[in-house]
Amino acid sequence: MTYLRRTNRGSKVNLAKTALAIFVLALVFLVNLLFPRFYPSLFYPVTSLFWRGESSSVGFLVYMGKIVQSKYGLVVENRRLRDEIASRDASAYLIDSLKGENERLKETLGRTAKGKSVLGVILSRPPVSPYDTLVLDVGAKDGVQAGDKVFANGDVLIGEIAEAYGSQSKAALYSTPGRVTEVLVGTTTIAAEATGKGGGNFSMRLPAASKVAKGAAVSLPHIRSHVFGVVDAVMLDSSDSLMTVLFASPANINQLRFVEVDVR
Amino acid sequence: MIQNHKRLAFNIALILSLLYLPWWAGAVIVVSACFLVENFYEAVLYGIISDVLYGTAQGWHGLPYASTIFAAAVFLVASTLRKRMAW
Repeated sequence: MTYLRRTNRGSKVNLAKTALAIFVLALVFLVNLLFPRFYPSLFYPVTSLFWRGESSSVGFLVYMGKIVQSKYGLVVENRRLRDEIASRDASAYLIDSLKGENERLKETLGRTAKGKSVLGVILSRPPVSPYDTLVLDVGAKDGVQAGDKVFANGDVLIGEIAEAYGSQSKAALYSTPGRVTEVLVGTTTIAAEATGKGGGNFSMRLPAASKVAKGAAVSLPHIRSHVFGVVDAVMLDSSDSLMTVLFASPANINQLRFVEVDVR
Repeated sequence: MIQNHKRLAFNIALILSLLYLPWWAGAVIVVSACFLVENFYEAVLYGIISDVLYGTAQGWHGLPYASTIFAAAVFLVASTLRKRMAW
């Protein structure tokens, strides 16, 4: 009887391929570990082109969708929005006046919150990013640098610049899962540690006796007047000496298109 | 030949998911690719790219390079299971 001789040439080739793949991947990872700015500097100019293209095409589709909406629906929505604007006008005037007064008082005391702001278009946002980060189209060329505060809808503080490249930057939201931020709660400014839950949501633990109600404002110790979050729910267990407070940023991260970067 | 087509399709799907789809869609595609394509090493590469594009020092629940670790873990588990499973 003649048998085919068994050969391990195939498995050797596979082993060599696997070793090569592991070596290349390890090398790529090491470069990222040792030079964390190298790959982003290469990738962002390319990915920005795709993200910009997507923004304009989505904008076009949304616009086309609005056009085909019924005219009656638009009239109803228009009336509702007009009423809403009228009801908010009064409080907006009061807020403007209080802001002005606040700024004048700070100036009298030798401090000012007035600074230069740069408007940034959001190229990528959660849930595309698993880390609750925003990629912005402004970078070091626009004066943006790591640590600059990021505001949404004017005065809602949502995060800070983590890394700034030439024409792009990466902003880390305070709501990054697991991120702990020192906050002040309510008008009595109770100091607490808020833990990010992702998507603009937070939780914190406070003594059960603390007077925190739904709707209370949460802020950060920062010279510029801002809103950080609004208390959404207070969960109190009679067997626990602490209560859990859930709050969310008033800005919907998923709907934002622009943010303001407070450059120093 | 079919394996090559599958590999190409998964690569295109992963590039698109990295740029436009929610992160969990990318995670599902990575898991599927690792099980359906032999030695889908690219999974780890996409994990690294995800960290490069979106990751910060804060990481995910304090864990930096979470995407790379996830992709490498899925690749290892899928490779091990593939050898023991009949397809």
